Amino acid sequence: MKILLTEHEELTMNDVISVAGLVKRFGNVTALDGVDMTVGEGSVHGFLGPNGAGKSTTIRVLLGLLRHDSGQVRLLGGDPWRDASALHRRLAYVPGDVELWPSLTGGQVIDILARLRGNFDRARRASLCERFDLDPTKKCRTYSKGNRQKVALVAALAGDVDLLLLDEPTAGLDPLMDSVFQEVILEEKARGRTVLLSSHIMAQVEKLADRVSIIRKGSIVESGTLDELRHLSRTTVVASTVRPADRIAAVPGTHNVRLVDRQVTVDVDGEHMGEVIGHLHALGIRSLTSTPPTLEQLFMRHYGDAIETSGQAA
Amino acid sequence: MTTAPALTTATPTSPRRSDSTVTGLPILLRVALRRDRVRLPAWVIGIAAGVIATLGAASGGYSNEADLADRAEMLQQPALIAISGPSIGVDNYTLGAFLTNEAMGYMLIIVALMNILLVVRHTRTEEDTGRAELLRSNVVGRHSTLGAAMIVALIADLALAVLVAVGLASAGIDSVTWTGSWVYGLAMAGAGFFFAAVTAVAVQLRGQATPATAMATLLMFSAYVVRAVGDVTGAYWLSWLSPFAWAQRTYAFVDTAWWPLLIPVVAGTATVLLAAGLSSRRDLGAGLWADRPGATAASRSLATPIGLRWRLHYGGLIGWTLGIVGFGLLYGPLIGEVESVAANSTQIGNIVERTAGSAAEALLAHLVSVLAIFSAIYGSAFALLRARHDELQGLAEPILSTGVSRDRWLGSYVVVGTLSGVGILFLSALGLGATAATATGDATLLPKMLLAALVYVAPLLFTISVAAAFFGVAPALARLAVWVLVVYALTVGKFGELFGIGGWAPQLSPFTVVPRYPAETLSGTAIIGLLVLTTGLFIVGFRRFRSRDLTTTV
Repeated sequence: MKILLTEHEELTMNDVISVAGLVKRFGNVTALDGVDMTVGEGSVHGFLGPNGAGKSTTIRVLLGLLRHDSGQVRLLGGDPWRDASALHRRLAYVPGDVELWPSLTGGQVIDILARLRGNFDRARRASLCERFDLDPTKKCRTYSKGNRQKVALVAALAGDVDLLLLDEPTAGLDPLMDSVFQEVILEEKARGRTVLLSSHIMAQVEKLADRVSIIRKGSIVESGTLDELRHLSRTTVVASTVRPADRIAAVPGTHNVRLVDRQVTVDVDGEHMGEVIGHLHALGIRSLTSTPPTLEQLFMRHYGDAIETSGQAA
Repeated sequence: MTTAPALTTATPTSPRRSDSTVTGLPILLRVALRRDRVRLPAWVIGIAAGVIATLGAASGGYSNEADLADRAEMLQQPALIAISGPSIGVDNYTLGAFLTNEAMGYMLIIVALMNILLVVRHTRTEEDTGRAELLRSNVVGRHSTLGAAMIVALIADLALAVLVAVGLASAGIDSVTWTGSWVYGLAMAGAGFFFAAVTAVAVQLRGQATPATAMATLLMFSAYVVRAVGDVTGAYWLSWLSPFAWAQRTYAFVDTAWWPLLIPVVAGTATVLLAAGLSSRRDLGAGLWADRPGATAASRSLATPIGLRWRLHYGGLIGWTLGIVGFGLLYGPLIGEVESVAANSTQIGNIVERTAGSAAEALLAHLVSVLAIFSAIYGSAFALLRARHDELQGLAEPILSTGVSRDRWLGSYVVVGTLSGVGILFLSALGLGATAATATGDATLLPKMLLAALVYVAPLLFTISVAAAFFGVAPALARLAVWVLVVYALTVGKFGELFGIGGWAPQLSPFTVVPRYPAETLSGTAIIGLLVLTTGLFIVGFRRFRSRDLTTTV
């Protein structure tokens, strides 16, 4: 079906994005040092990392704006550098920092961006403007950062595309607009679109993403479904027991034990949960809560100092 | 409720649309023209009006053939060949020959600046702001932005050609024929387009708008110098390397030839293709010459408004200084030639009216005023009006939100603009004076040039104060106002002086109203008047800036 498929057809049929060993250098600085990532058709893929880790650089390589030094990059079955404009017909991009032409109105910019791509749904444009509460008659010089971002979002979402590349697309939006954004993305997902969402807002990615890649210092340090990644992290268990759990630290897989009277708080490796519960049971459980690891903890583990110092997640 | 249609999964791209590296160009072109719908007509009409006004001034100044014959004899002196052109049509000098031989060079500098600023604005500035990224992530070919910019330049240049041709031919002057007018207009357009193409290469090499502009401008001045050196020394192959010669050597109105018009077409196309090739090899937003890492911390002097201004300026300042000082150094040695020939020719005295000193001094007076105008262009349009750019780009806010007052902020631009302008003026006058003194063996020329430079500090400050006043009162018009002033000074003002035309029009230029030392005796009236006006304009600018809103487009 996809006209751009080449000799790599069988490898890329189901992967909308496939990146292997991607290296990008700027002079002496290595911005991407072997990035591996695959994004399957119809999925929402969260792309997490601290500032400067390489999220935007990766996305710019995917857009064919930067030329990579080595590694393999396939996007929608094509080569993002060579086939850039043909591929762009099937994708839309929203940067985190949107600059527009000061003398044009938001509506004009939306139409310019949409006409360039060619496939454009006028009714959907109107509906999106309404949902995002965007006045398209204002000159871009009068827009706030959030409103400029809405212009880019409406232009991207009004097109009929297969892939959305979103680079911290809600950085300037208020919480209300952020929830509109989440609604819209879930609708897009339901319609079968693929989304790569770079973000450092954990709640947003947890709500939207099927799979997550965490990038740090130019390489992917963790990748998988949220469930898979949670196995790698620790569940926080808070238990009140009849007899104090003063020897729980000896149970394998426990970390960071805090005991106050008869209430113990302990972080437990996923695979040792049974032993910990067994130990607590023997002490007589009065109450027990268990909090699954949040993305924040996953994230902190890879670029924070240690999960122990990151405090308890809500 | 969403009104979206059902998505047909994996809709194949319509195969009838062929995607190329210039996909989307027509839409980008419309956007570019829409954005330039005021600015570009202003440039084109302004330049065309300048050309036509120059013809008008010349026909007033040279009412009979004897005047023209005197002029023609004078024009064969090396110094005047260097300033104007290769003695085109001096056997039977007409107003038409004047246009090609003398007016063309000056006009082309302005046409080139229009093209340089235009191409940088539509290519590198778009990348600097990140708007190019938004476009290029869309269905836009790698060369569409560059292609659209080149077409905008071509449209502007051709419109200029038409206006100039029709305007000149309609003036009703015998020697200014229709054929000649068309060739003249197209020759300007061709050279202008070639500079647009050169700029297209410069924006690939340099990663920011300002250094790219500086590089293209430096190349343009080099081309001016190359033509002068070639024509003066008789090494005409050297002249032919310069777009200025391509335009002049159409011999429009004298021995009109069409074929030199082909040179900029071929060379321009090749240069655009080179730029396109280079752009395919680089990342969006980057230059081919990578940035090196810099200092971890700011020095104490950098962390002051003036220190910051200075640091952000000196790159462009070095380029401009080299260009203008080089211009002065080139002409110095030719002064000796003038002096020796002038001894046998009385007509050369006509180069400026009421010549008080020697022929060499008359020419030096002319040259130092040209140096002063270019120093003023840097000090006002580039250094001071950077304030407007920074305000719009949101670079003013972070500084003004610290303890820095508006006066101090604007003051940093005024101080750096003034020091740069005055510095360039004195350095170039020093170069001109030193080489002229060496060439003529008249050591007094050096101090005379420095004194002349001192005279032109007043019009230079006046130009900067006009920029400052507009920045405070009507910031949106500031750029236009400054360019109108300096272009007027360079055309009507300069030619009025060269021809010794009376009347009020040339005297409206601040660079014409001051004494043409050393060709005239010094007198303080005009200088004091200008300085009083300058002070008033600065006061107005600072006061109004203090009480107006900051505007920002980010």
